[in-house]
Amino acid sequence: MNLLKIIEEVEKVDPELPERLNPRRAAIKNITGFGSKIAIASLPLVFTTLFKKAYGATLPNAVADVLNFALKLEYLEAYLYNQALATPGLVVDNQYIAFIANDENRHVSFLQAALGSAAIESPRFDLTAKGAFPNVLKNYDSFLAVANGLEDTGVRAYKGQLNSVILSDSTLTILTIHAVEARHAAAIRELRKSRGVNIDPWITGTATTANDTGVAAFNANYAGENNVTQLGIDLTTLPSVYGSTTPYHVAAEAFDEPLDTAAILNLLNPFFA
Amino acid sequence: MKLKVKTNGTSIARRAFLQQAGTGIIAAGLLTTAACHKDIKVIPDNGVDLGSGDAGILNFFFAMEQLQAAFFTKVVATPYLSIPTAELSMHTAIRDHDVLHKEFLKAQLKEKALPTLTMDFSSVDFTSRGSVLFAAKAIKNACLEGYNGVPNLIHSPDYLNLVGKISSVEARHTARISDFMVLGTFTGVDFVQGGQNKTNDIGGTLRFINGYLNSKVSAASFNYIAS
Repeated sequence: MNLLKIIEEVEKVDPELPERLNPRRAAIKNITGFGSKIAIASLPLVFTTLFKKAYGATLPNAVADVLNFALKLEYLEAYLYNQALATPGLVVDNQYIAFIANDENRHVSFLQAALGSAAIESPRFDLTAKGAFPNVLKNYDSFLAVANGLEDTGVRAYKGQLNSVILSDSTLTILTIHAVEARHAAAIRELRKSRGVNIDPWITGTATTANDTGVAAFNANYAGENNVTQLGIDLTTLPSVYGSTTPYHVAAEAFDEPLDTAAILNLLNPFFA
Repeated sequence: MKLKVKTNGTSIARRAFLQQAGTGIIAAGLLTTAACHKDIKVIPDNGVDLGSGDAGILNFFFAMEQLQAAFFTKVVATPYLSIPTAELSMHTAIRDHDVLHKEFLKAQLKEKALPTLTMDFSSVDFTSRGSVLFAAKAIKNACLEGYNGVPNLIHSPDYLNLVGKISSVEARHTARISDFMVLGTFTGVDFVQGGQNKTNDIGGTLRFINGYLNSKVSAASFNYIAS
């Protein structure tokens, strides 16, 4: 773990970081020294602790903004599953949904802890998205469709934060939550498939279609997911088991696409009361 | 690490040999010692090194994708007895995705790309559903944890983006495989803790991957030498 590089990145946002860390320099050097001995899984917590110590109770605005953006998303996801589980007779696959709800509630607690007093309060939500999904808490398939759209959107949201300079301190955390959101998305898609929807755990697409959920209201949430050009390479020109080229749908499925903060907030806006 | 030792070849000067070792072939302590003996030519037949920096990390991805592509290619080519259609199509889709990841990384790396790695799947019984799914899940989780462990080592924003783009697809794969094994285990305590996916460092991941390789992969600049 290159902790020093991370600190260097945060310095770009907050030039005063070295002074903040100074009294604890020795401790930080120790951390890098025994880095290989720390269970890697605990590193996000190490970062959280370190940055809380460095900043005291207040995180710099730029860092707090991004973590609060993630928290806002997690509040919404947690609310969706908690409400669904609290609605008698709605959820059929209780085990699945309870697992996911549990993860989302943990994401909320984790981000709240990282933010401390800077954590935003939960907004008030409208799960019907201003009437776009009137049956979200009345019909199980409608609920799954909304969960499908929001999980895939969540994956895109976390992906979009990876490169934010301010998050270089927490890219690890972002990635570890991101992977769990992708697992959820796959599970929800599989549940829908088991109930007759033509869908796979991964997002497929054609040259003209990016939204494979069958829910037109989510078209904008999937915009660009059918991209097949990565770092200047047209993936369809690469060899595959089918010959010297790769089928379009394979190229679309094999890479998920990010969305930036503004685009995500715009998409989630209807869900805020 | 397997070594082929030839006594009848031309000996390589120690310096030249070590230079060669540094540029792509990993010499463990044993190898260096062996190289000191005159008239003994040591040809390591395994132990390629990732290289350093961002290219080294891309090669790390390339090694992971080579293993995954080869594994699922074999699963689809020799499907287990009475394989359900849904499972065969899952394996096929995963194979296609991983072959593309592999080809893409190879195209990105160009002359810096690792050679084609040779596999050792002797620990897997491809006729057994249980054996195949167990290995599939283990390989997928190890690779996902490997992707999750590198973001703070990457310098290029493009490559960091790439980690995000590929790793969520890997997460979708492993969730699906897990669920075929035990319904409802797409996130389980063995690989997700506290709502966060586990991570692993390059050395830890390669140690796992090397268990399926004839040609071992090392990462000297990331503090891991295959043994």
